Parts: sequence; C-alpha cells; structure tokens
Amino acid sequence: MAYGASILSGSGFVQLDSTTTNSGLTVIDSGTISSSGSINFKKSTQFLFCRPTSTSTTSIALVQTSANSGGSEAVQTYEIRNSSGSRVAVNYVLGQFSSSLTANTTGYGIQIFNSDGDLAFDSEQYNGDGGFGLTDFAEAGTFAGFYNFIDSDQTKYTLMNGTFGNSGTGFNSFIGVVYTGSSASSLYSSGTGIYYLGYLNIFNGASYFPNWGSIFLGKGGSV
Amino acid sequence: MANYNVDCRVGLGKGQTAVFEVNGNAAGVGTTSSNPLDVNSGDTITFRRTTNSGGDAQVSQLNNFTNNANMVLTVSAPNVTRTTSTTGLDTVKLVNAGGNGNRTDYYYINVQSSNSGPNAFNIPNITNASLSTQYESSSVQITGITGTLTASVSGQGSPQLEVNNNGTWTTSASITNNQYLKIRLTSPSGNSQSHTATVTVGGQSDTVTITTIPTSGQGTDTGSANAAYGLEVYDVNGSTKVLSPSTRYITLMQEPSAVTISAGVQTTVLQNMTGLTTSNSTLTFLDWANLVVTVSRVSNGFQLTNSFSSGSYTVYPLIVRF
Repeated sequence: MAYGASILSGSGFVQLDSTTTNSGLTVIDSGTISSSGSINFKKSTQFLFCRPTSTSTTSIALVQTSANSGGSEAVQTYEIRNSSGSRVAVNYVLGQFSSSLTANTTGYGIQIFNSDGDLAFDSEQYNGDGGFGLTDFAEAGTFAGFYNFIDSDQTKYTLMNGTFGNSGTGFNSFIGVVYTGSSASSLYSSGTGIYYLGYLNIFNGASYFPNWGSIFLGKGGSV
Repeated sequence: MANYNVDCRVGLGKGQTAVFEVNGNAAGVGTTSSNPLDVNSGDTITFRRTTNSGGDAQVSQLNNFTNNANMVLTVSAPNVTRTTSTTGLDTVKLVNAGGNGNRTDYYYINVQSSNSGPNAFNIPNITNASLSTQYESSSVQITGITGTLTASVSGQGSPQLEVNNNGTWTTSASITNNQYLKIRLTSPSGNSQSHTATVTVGGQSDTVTITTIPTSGQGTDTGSANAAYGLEVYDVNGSTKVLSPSTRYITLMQEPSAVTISAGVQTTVLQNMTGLTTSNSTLTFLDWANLVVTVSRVSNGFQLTNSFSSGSYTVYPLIVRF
C-alpha cells in the first residue's frame, strides 16, 4: 500500500479503501414513495433500494417516466410498479457513490480521498438517513426467471437499478422481485420471502428471462 | 478439563507387538519423547484396549489418572508402569504380557499442572468459498493462557494451524498467552458443501466451517463481516451506525463509461483483479446490456463479448466491490 487508508473488516471485506479508485456508497436519502409518487435519481452514480410497504404479496420493478437527455447517466424520474403495471408504495434507501459527492470543506468527522482525488468516504455526508449494509448478492444471469427464491427476510431492500417494469395495465414484460408478504402461495416453493420474477411479453406469451442485472439485497438504518 | 483416549494394541502370541496408538495411528502425539501429550492437572486419560487386540497387555500404577475404564489391570503383574522423570516428562511403559514380556512400548505425557486457560475464542467461519481451494482463516488472539498450551486442529479439509504467523503450518503446536492463531483448510469439491475443523487450545475448542458457493441458480447470502476490527461511523443522531465492521458495504471501483463492442468481438474492461472474486465483486451494467453482452473474468479485468451476430452495441459497465 503506497499511501492512504485501507480499512478491512476481520473477514477481509473492504470498508474503506483510498488506495484504488474505490468510492463508497453513501446513503443520501431514505423514506417512502407513495402509490402516487415517484423519485428522481441518476442510475450511473446512485443505487436505489426498495421494499414494498404492503404486507401482502407485492411485485416491484422500476419504471422510467421521464426522457431527459443523457439516458441513465442523467437524472430521470422513476415510479415503482408491480407486474400488472400498477404503482405501488415502497420504502426506499437511496445511495450515492461518494466520488460523485462534493466534499465538505468545514465541519467534523472523517474524509478519505482515493487515488483519483475523488471522495472515497465522507462521514458528514450522512444526514440522518442511516446506512446500508449488503446481505445478499446474485450475479446477473443467476436466476431463470420463474419465482426464484432469493431470501426469506422481507425487511431487506432490493436494488432496483437492474429491474424493469411497464406502466401499461394488463400483461407486461417484467424484470423485478416479488415480496410474498406474510403468506405465500404454491408459486413460492421456499415459502415467504423475496423472489426473482422475470419474463418478457412475446406475442402475448410469457418467456421467462434471467436477471440481467446483479441483484443486491441489504438492510438500511443502523448497520 | 480435557479427556484423552490412548489405545493399547497388542498382537496375538508371544513376542508380538505392543504399542500405544492415537486414533489408530502409532505415530501420533505421545508416541515419541519429542512429541509428548501435553495435559493439564485434572485432565483425564483413559487407556483402552483396542478392538481386535490379542495377548494379555496389562497396566498398573496409574494412580494419578482419574479414569481407568477399559483398562486391563493386574496389580501383581505390572506390565505397564508410569515413571516420573526429573524433567517432568512422564512415561507409561507397556509390556506385552503374552508370556515373553520382551516387546515394549512407551507413551509420553507432559503434565503441565501450572498451565491453564485459555479464554473462549472464535475463529470466523469462511463462506462462499471456491471449490477445492485452500483458504486461511482470520488470525485470532488467544488470551487467558498461563504457561504453555498445545493448540491442535483436526477435521475435514486437511486442516492445519499456524501460531503467531511464524510460517509453520502443522496440526499441533505450542502456544502462549496473547499469541495469534489461524488455520487453513481446503474447501469441498461440491457447491453448497461444508468442511468442518475443530481447533483445540488447552480446554477450549472452536469449530470452524468452510462453505462453498451455491450452485448457479441460487442466491448467495453474503454473510456478515467479522465485527472485531474496522471502523465505526455514526449518523448525526449519534446512535445510528452508518459504517461498522459487522456489515458489508458496496464500493464502486469503476464508474460507468461507454464501451462499444462490435458483433462477436471481445473487449476487456481493465481492472486490477487482486483480491477480487465472484464472492466480493461484479461487473454490472447501467441498463440491460446482459441481453446481448456476456461477462467473464480474466486476469487483467472483465471480458465483455457481444453475442449478437451483427451490428455493434454500446454498454455502460460499472465494477462494484462489496
């Protein structure tokens, strides 16, 4: 290590690392998106994690409702919709990679910069929205698409960036997750929990489709 | 307090072998003077006849041991004797009593009545291991030892231990207070399988499990990080932890930037892959590039392949470590 700070947990997982171009995911916002609400964020620098507020079985995926220039590298407006195209209410945690944050020049706490001179960590960027701890990961292509079990803990949030929904009602293509609520039908072979569901509407038939983005699950609040 | 079993195996007939064994191995701990069994005051050693032993091996004068179960004891014919040397190294002598009495073996015991401890310890388990791969655990400081104790490891995956990062890997070694201990063992050859090793220091033991990654098609619980080291950062309320050693975090290693790949062509997103595995890193895309682009790991980064047969495609990969 030539310079800077590298902090690992006892299991060897990186907490902070300024020796590379690493930058940590900082929670900049959290709260609830209502069933009539939306959220603005930039996919290229921000990760949006959601879970349904409902205790009934609810599927969720991201639906883009704006078309600002710049595509996913620009701020866009998104809603959370279920597999039928209806908007649903969710709790969310929005994280932003600190390299795209502006370092505070006054205040308190700890700041670490990476080898590019970008902010790797700034404790003062946290402003009451808690942290985010990763608990589950699945590589792109891990799941076949038909109600694949991910985890049983429905208090966990799911990364929405790689999901895809449709605003039209009726039968749509859907790449997302399902929270079963407190009871689960026979579709859910591992009982209650969080399942991956992915299918494309091809000639009015469902062609089940693998997760095309990495799936991250985690917990917000005090971590 | 620990319990030890020592087997006495005696061949049939006069002049046959008479040996002490440990787990069926005549070359185990205690069978040479340079490798005695270290015991503490109050430990129990049971000398047993093994199955299929012949002859009339007899033991006696073992009054210092608290459990004589299974021993063949003939006081009038003390074929096994224990003597205490001036160095503190005791020997137990076994004589084949098949009539000749001319075949003997010795068992060596180092009674460490002044040694004690340690405090309970915990070596973290290893999860999401690759198949048939040797892994090292974290180092754990062993505290609460008085004197010198023996650290040993046994179990699946050919476990070995190392004391104080001295470079010597073995199944048994001496350890003193505040020294560090870690183990290494090999993961199973199948997915979602475990190997378990038991680490014993004095009267304390810990079980370490290494579990391999799930079969493709299942989610992976990334597990909790070890809470013993690292940094804690609190939110503005002073009580909510936003960073702590017990949680895994997501860090961005490469921001997304446009990469255009022609049909059937491969291109590599360069990345120092040191320390990066399928369990702690990934390349993902801003949008739905996985529809047309496959990703594989190579020594100098992530290789992207446009699987379409015509045209080119622009993707925005980002590399994440967690």
